[in-house]
Amino acid sequence: MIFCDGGSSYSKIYDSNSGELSIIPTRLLVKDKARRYHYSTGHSSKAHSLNHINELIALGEGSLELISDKSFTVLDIGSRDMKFVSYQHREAANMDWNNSCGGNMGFTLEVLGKSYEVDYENILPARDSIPVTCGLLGVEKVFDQINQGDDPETAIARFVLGMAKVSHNFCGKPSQLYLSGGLSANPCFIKSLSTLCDVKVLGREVLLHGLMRKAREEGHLSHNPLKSISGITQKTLTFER
Amino acid sequence: MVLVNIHDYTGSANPHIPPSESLSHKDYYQQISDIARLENSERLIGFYGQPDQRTIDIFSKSGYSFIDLDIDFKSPNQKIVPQAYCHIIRDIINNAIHFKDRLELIICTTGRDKCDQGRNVRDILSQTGFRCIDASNINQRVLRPPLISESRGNLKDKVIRIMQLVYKPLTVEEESYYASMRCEPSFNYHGVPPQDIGLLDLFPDDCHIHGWTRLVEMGIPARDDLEWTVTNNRPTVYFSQSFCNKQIMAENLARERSGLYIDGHGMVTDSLRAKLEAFLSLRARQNGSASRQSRQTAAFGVQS
Repeated sequence: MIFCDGGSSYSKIYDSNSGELSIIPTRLLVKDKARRYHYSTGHSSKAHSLNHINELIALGEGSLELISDKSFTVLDIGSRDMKFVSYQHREAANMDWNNSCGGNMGFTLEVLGKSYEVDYENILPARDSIPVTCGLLGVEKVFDQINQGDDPETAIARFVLGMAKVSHNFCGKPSQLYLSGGLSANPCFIKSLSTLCDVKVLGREVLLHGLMRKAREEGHLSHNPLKSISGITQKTLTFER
Repeated sequence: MVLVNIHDYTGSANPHIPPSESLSHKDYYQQISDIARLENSERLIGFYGQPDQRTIDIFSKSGYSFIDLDIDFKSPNQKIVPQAYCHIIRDIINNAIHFKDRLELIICTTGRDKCDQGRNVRDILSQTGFRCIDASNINQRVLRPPLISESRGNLKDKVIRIMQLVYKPLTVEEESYYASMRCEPSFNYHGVPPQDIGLLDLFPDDCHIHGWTRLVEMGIPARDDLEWTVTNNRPTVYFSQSFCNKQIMAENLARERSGLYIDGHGMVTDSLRAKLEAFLSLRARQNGSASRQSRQTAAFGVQS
């Protein structure tokens, strides 16, 4: 069976027959009009799937698959949007999905990084932030800061901290947060978010886990094969001010 | 005893009679009867909210038809109401102006039975040249049991039928039908009818109705204390229109009862749809155990 989390920028595809997990730029996939998935979630895969599941459900199901805590909040930030689900006693208590004014964070960071040739691995988190409303409203302040003499790394780090604050507020300011999606691979963002709460990084395959949980419940899979190979690590990252 | 206020029922030069000049109960209904007798019953009576039932009945007996101005008829935007404002309030004013030539007068609700904006709407319509009767529904006595609210069936159809109760009572056959369709709920919907009524198509058929819509079915829209009540322990979606003063209640109820708070402005967005679908899907898991508890819950604890 083929599972796809079709994000706006990247698609995560898992073939349970071959055991192969691929992360492919979505722009390369969209040219293949004949592509088909057994289970999918995400903007770009709906028209190509036998079973399409909305992303919040995939996130909620996937987090239940990976997290054993009774109560927790999981936040997924992708290229275009962010979404969260909070569980109390493993019962979905709150959730939200912001694909407009809270979105575009991942996309903007990628563009900024490429434009200024910045490696997020090497940027230290900022101590104060640029006020950010979303991934687009606020980015002009990065340019202003650079024009005023800041080096790009500093300005972008302040922007990233602003994004972290918006994200933390968005999901209700929990003291501990599980993070998934493309931004969970951005060290500067994780460290910035870690100044606001404990962060446990789940990686980019959480929604795929949700799809597999669904497939298993519907009798199409006997177990979740991705769980044993994806190397999910849950490490708490903290940042000392 | 002042129960209701009447505005410009004489069509005088002064289009607005302030509430301090309210009529007595008896005088009020007498004048309503006079208006209903004298006016042209081929024209429509506009209303918003759930007005005083006796006022509606008087016009109904005189042969008038009604138009619910709360409904989205896609009337042209008159740009009287700010863009960032309750869409239902905007619809009322846009509809009234759009249908002006066909409206005999407008029956307004301006008290605890509507929302705080009911008074502003009345004043704007009155100043715009409409003849307005202020017929707020202050009834405290339950007129009907919540048969539709607790029945199985398409939620949108149930809510539409409840709103039609203002001018179209249930037939005996309908009463029997809804009574026979009574069900245990898997979810509850709490709130007013959404401006984009299609939102309700996302809910399961065994969804019960609570909040203001339920109170309308029971004929007690001013019992706003009961808007804080949900009579079972099933997962509940608390809806309010964006920019509505009921938002604070809906959000608090959702937080206290682990429900889902949603608000909408205009068409249902993908984000809102996804949130609702996710809540219904993820919460469906817990419903097996909840249903057993719900059967032991009292039907409705209303003091009439």
